[in-house]
Amino acid sequence: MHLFFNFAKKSSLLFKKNISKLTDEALLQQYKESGKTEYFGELYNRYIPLLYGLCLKYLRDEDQAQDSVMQLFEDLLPKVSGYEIKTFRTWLYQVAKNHCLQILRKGSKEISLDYEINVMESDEFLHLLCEEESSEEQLNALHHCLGKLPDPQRISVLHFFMEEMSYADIVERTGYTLNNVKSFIQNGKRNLKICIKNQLAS
Amino acid sequence: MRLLDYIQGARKGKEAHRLEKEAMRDPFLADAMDGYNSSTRNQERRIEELQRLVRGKSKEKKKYTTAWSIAASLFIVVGIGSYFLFQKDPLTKKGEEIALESERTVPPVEYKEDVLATVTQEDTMKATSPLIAKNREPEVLASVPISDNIAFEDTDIEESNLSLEIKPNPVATTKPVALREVRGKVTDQKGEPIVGASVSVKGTTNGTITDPDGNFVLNTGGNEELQVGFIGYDPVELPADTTKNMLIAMYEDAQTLDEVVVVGYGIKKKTSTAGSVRKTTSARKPQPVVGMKEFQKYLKENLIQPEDDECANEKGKVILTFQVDEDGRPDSITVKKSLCPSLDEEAIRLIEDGPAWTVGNEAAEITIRF
Repeated sequence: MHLFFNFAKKSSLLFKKNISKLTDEALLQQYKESGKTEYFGELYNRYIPLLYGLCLKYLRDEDQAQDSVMQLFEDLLPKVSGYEIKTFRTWLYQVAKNHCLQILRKGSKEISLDYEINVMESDEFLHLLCEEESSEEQLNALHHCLGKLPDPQRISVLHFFMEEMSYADIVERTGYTLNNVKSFIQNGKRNLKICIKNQLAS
Repeated sequence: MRLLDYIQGARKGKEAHRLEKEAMRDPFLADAMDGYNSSTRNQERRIEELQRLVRGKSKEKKKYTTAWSIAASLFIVVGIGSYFLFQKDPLTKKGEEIALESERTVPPVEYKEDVLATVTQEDTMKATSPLIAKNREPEVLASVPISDNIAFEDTDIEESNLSLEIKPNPVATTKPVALREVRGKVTDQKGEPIVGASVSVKGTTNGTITDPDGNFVLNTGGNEELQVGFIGYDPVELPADTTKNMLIAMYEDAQTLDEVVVVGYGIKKKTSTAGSVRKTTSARKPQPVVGMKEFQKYLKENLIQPEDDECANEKGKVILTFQVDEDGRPDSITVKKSLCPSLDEEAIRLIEDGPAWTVGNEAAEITIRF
């Protein structure tokens, strides 16, 4: 009897060890095949910090955010096997965001969306700003355009991309507020992008 | 996990910078970081709690299935055991058993009907003569327990049978879903993505809205008609196509643009077109971003009644006025109508810690009731 329990203990430990090494998609596949909740539980747990933050952003309420993350888990548990999911991460992001927006829509008709912050940059442009593998021509354009930016935007962009400072570091150095720093970088990037494009075209 | 360090407040240095840069390419991460930045409180405890809950739910289900399998194997063991019991004494015992069985099963059914009959009879008799009804009562009492017992045995067997049937294919119940994914992107006539456009299956409530890149994913049953709408644009209807990424262009509708009223950074459709459209640029009073109803709910749920001697039993209202700064946070809060020092303080705390407000050019005013 003791032997049996020892074996059971060891095998459950082994299970845990193996399960944490699997990729998202492998875990999902295992869940689809075996129907064992552990697999999906492990997968979902990986995303809880992201999911909770996401819900916090849209719902602006800790309890509501927590409830939503749990609700989503219970919703997805029986349904997730029915979907063909290529990349779990992007799929979950869409589902979770829609879930939160739907809650907002039920509560009130107004949805506050911060459009600016969500504009994602193409890799190419971020590479250029980090001076990774850029041509002389591109770098010249970059320097020309940096000079044209308003001071707060240029300072923030330089601190962030050239000196690899975090938002909090820049706040400390410059005395701007966190939201100002974010929007300076955002707007600075957009202005740079447009300017560089024009420079290279001419 | 690196995000966890960030959540815990490690927001300086190269590691933090790397994560912030990563967020520029990853909308999921960006949204989550916005969420944590919006709150000054430490959210670590919430995350741990959630992970514990999910882990618990994952295990619960496992215990449940093992319980069923134990029940099922016990049932089999008992079944085989009783088979051998019959085999041992085929001549005498089997006969007796069958006799017993028929005695047990057949008559109670009659009893059951009997009970039903007597009950209805009793009901009618109660109305006419309570004495007769009283006389009949012992008979009813005597028959009830027997039929109850039989019923209990019946359901017992049914339950364990069920467990045997359910166990082998728990996946099968969830698998056959005929849903198909429609993916696509909604843009304006210039090809710029439209954020927050509604995409729905015509004639149903099944729908979604587009993400910041104008993309959407929607599950449909098959060849259905999609409806795409966004304020200020002509609605579009077209058949769903699950074979490729749909590209949907919308054209601006010049007429409806007049009806759009911008509230802070949300967009709200003005429902009534009759009467004059109020100019919103001249005087804008800040409003809670979550809406007044939700904000009142927040006040109700988060109010902590002060317990000092002076104010604990005070009832009434505190009126505050304040400006809203460009980040949507209440600024320079002043007490317009005071009630009691610690109650005033609590009211200010609620507004300071509360949800964001839309930016306006007038002072906001809020009443907090104690």
